[in-house]
Amino acid sequence: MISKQAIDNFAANLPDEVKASVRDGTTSSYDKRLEAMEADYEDVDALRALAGQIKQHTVDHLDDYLRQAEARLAERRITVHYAWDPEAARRIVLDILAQRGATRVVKSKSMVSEEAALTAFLTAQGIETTESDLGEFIVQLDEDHPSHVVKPIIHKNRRQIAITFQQHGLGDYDEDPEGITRRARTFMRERFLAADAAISGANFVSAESGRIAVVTNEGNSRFGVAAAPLCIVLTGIEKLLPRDRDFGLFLSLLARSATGQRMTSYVEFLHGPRLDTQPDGPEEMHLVFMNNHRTEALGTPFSSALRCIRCGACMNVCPVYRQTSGHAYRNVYPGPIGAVLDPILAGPEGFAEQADLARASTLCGACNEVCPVNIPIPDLLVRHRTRAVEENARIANLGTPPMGGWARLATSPRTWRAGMNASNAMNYVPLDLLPVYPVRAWLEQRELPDWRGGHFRSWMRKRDGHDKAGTDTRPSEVAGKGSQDE
Amino acid sequence: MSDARNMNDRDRILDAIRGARARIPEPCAYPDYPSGVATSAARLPRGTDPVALFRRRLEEAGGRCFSEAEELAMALREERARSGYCDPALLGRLSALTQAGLDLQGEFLRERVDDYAFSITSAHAGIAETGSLVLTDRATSRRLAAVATWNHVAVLDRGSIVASLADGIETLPNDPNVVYVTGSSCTADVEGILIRGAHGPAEQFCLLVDA
Ligand code: SF4
Repeated sequence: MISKQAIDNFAANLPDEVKASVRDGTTSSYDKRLEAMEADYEDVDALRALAGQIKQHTVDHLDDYLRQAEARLAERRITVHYAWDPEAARRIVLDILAQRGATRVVKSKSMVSEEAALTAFLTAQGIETTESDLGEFIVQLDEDHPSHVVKPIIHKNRRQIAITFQQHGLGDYDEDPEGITRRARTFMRERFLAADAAISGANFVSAESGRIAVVTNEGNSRFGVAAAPLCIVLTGIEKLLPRDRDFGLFLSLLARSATGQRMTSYVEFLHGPRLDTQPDGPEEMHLVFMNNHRTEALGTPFSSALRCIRCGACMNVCPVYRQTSGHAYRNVYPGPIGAVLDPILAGPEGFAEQADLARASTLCGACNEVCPVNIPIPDLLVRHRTRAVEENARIANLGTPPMGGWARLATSPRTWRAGMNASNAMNYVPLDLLPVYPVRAWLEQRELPDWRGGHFRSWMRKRDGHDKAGTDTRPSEVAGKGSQDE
Repeated sequence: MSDARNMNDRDRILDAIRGARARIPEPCAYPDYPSGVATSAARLPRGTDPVALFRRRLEEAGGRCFSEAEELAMALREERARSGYCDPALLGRLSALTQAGLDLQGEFLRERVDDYAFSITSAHAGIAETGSLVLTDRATSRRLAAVATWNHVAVLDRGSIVASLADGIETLPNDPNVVYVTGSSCTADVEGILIRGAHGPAEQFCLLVDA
């Protein structure tokens, strides 16, 4: 492989084992989603458009909804914090923990906490922090990173997990998925019961009521929150929904899009510290809204990327993700939406380093078609590509030939005609041996048909001579197919 | 706009949003839509009985539903669950379980969490469309018991079953903790293979009663 693009090279060096895991994981998720949607809905696209509109409305009025949510949350005795960047988020969480002298934390899944690299930070501060989602727990043991927003270890197989468990003293080698799950269950119970604090992400926060919806299948968030005296929710400023009634639509779409379920096993609406009559649950609750460059997308076409509800459907369907795996994207968010979000979250200074991500797409549009909030991902990728050219971002354009000569040729009819006829000489050039890097890289994966420069023009000229009346001159098989389709 | 250095993060974020809003040519309006827009039960024949639908959907999600305490006792015995926690307020009406040889304890001790093979608590409501049980702080005597035992039984009043998820959301109780439980705790993190009993109950039972 002679590509100069980092993602191409990552994919080329990917072990077959990982390729197989990612391929199987994405295809099964894709199939389940399709089945669940088709079983229940006649017009999925109408629902996606509606959800997209509700989220876009939220994003377009974000300050109003944040202030409204903040007031409702405060009424429910949930302390609200704002973090401008990951560093502020880490400091806020650490301060809350310190105030209660909390030293043991269990954490359920939160992509925002991945943005803030919270687990590693807290651990370095001497706070025992345990990821309680099975996939995230394995990622933590391996000092790895999640490679999918819903299936964090989609890139691993049971044998690798069994070895990890064995190495960390979680029993003898056992690759049975049930055995692995039981061991994690036993280990985690002790952590849940001993924890001083539970940290969780949020899927949705209602601005109308301040209800925080947290969704899991494992029940790890529910267990963590029930057992610990302190609960901290860490989320992005865009996670709001205007009204409680919106939960119905969004929970329905999220469950089906992410895992093909009608409803996720546990949907928990957190709405303040526990009742006095309830022996379990937190006495103290906090919610942290983190920005991390999200506001820079507002008022631009990229604001639509903030509609994302992290269902992972665009990853499962993406031909590039399926081949390259999530780690090829080098960032917290992989796949098509990652290629859109990561350059934004990197901030203006960081853009140049993420500028190649937008090229990791065939622009086939499949991501847009499955997205429950109808984000026009391909359009946004094209915008990133344009920006990469404008800002002369080196890594985006590695391996791309300069197009200036082509532009001159293609905009002058006379030169074009001459070039077309002369170009038939191409058939006699061994292209794959040319010392021109982009041509060779391109031809590695492809075979060219014979070059027939100028043929179309002479065909057109002949047709024009035969048929001045302007009747249907399409070749018969094309015309025939057209009518079949109707 | 104010000077960012002198602002706290809250004002800085709200300020940045306000600044950006001025650049939005046409802010998107909140759409008018019927709350049942995503109700899957809309594709079911009219007049489907909510209790029957609830049962069916709960079972599709991996749970089990009983109308008689004796059936429940049998199911628990099949799971070799002989001793467990029971909400003291339910002990009276569940004497059939004790008669069937099960040991119901009215107290849940956190230190002995592994000694309870099951827990029995009241549900606030049910949702037919999704087969979900609605648990709340008010209705559930012990949150921890309901999530930590291998088998959980939610005692549900038939009359409290609502038809759709949208109806459930419309009647969300005023409670600090509302949980929609749909089937059992599960994970598919290892090679996409579904395993029941991740951290919460592997067996989710429902006992239907009339209030
Ligand atoms: S962009 Fe759309 S499809 Fe992709 S994760 Fe976000 S919501 Fe799901």
